[in-house]
Amino acid sequence: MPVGISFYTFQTLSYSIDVYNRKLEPTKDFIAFAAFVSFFPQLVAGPIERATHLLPQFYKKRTFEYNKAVDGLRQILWGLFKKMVIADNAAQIANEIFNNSADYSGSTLVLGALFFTFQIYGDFSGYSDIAIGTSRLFGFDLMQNFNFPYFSRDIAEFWRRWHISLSTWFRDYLYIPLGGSRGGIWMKIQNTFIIFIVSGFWHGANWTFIIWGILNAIYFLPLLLLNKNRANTNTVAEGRYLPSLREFFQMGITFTLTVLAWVFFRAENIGHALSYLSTIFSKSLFTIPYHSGMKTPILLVLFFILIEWLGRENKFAIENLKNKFNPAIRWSFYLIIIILIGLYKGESQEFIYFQF
Amino acid sequence: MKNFLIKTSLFSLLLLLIIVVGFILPVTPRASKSLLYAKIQKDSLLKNIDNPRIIFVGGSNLSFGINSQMIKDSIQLNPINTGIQASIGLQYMMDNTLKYIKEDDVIILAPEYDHFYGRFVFGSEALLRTIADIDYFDLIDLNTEQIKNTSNYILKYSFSKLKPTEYFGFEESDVYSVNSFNKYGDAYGHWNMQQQKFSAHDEILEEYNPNTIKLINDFRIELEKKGAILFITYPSFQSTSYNKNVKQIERVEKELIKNNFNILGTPERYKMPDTMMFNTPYHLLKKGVEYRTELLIEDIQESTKL
Repeated sequence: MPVGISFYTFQTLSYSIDVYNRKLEPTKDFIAFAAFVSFFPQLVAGPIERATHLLPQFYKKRTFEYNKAVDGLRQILWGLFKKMVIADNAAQIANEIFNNSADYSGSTLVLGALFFTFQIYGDFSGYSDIAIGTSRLFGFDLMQNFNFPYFSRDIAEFWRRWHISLSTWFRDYLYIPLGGSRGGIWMKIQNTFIIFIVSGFWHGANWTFIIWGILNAIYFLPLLLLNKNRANTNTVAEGRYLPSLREFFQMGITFTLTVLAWVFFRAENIGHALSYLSTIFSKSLFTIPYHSGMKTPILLVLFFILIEWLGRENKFAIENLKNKFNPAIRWSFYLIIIILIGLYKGESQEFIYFQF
Repeated sequence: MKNFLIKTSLFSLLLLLIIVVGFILPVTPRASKSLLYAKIQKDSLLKNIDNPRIIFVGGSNLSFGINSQMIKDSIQLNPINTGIQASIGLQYMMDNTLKYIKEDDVIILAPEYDHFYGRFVFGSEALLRTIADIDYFDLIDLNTEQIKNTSNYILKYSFSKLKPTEYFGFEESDVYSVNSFNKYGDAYGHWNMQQQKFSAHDEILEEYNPNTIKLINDFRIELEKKGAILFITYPSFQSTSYNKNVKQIERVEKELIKNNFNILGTPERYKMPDTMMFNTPYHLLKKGVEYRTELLIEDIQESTKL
């Protein structure tokens, strides 16, 4: 399959649907349209832009904006750290454990699932950061694609923060046209399952993705039916350094559910996922996991979580450095990040979402 | 725009300065205790051991795979095991050995299967560290392909010199240390250890690289000019890993036979039971080392009539 086909297909679909629905005037500027469809930073893995947002930016005359360019570089740096340090290191461990899952204990498989959880986040949100940052250097604004999803307090919040450009695409072009949440209970259940199954199917024709979608629908439905799907729309622990105990448990439960769903996403097939999970939920869960070579990756992930937590009220974790610290501290921080990339970059892996 | 360019240039200069300083700093205490630093000892063996000599060239399948004393006792040649680590690259191992070749030397080359696929033959991070830690001016001798491979690791190498753990609080490994080798160059620190948990070698997915055969052929020609003789042996390779790479191994064997090299044994012969492996698909436990050495002695005796 051509790289990134589902991304530019959806982007182009949004243009056609918006024109059909008369939300957008068809463009007569072929160059601008071609540039919108093939805009290089986000062509192969998003964010999936809407014509209403990106297309008009091609009509405007762009001038260099210092703050935007510096912000762009900052976001690229953070994206590179996420991809090269977090995702690529996590990938090596996750691949080893998932590919030889029969040889490991339940506790080690938990580590494998956790590493995959950070691999996929670092990989995909890292790409988005690089794409958004690069666009900013050229004076373009792309939509935010990830908003610290692993700090979500429920699954509904997770889905408002994970792959936002795809989730909102499905919301606007599938869920709402199907009737959304306006009908009765059965309509809500049906539409929720449709959107999550299609979302799974979007990733590829594999049952593992479908089950991953169904699982997320099952997680999401109780919130929707109890009308609690918008209970957490703000940032967790806003204005505070630490979450409350309640928030901490909510995040822990949501994160655990997400990790379990990722097992299906990563597994080779359903049988593999089920055997992986059955080993996790066995006596061997309570043994000491195999952890040779994992000390540094674990420390890096903890450092990453800390920086993401401190920056969770921004569009990306290190966005607000400019307002909080003087240039010497900022430059030192950038140098530390570059040194960490140089020292700890993992074995280069292709971006996961290039295959979709 | 001007402000942006000035600041980004200043930042880049600062970064460059850190990279250069890191690069030219002397070898760190930790690196000077590493396995790679054994190159000094191995070069000294190549330089000082007298004829008649049998020189083993390859990666860790040799350093962790033969007992030179057994070879010396059986075939009455002075063994030199130059094996350190495969990721130094076969090309560099051969080039480095050539500098020390004497007339009538017998060279046993034991390339690992990975050396025939992708760009592994040109070396990677280990090559950069081996050279830069000992004498970075030797980097000038590397060719374009080797520079291409090693340049990916320059940042990592320079920055590693800035890590406090390179200077304080590190422990010398029992197995992977400059002091893990005996007087012939065999790693023996693990000979009294138990098998460790490790994964089998994945299937080699990289493209076959015809340059490897060409480089070995060039090596043979240079050796013959110096009055030495080349034999090629297959690496000891864990059975499970072997079974995952049968096609790739057969291709290597076919190419070596096609090019009329003096070959010792067959890949199948050096396929080692999993129980004989130490901690990687190429590293042997003591019983594996002895078994492999016996096979090698038989093959050498048969081919050289020694």
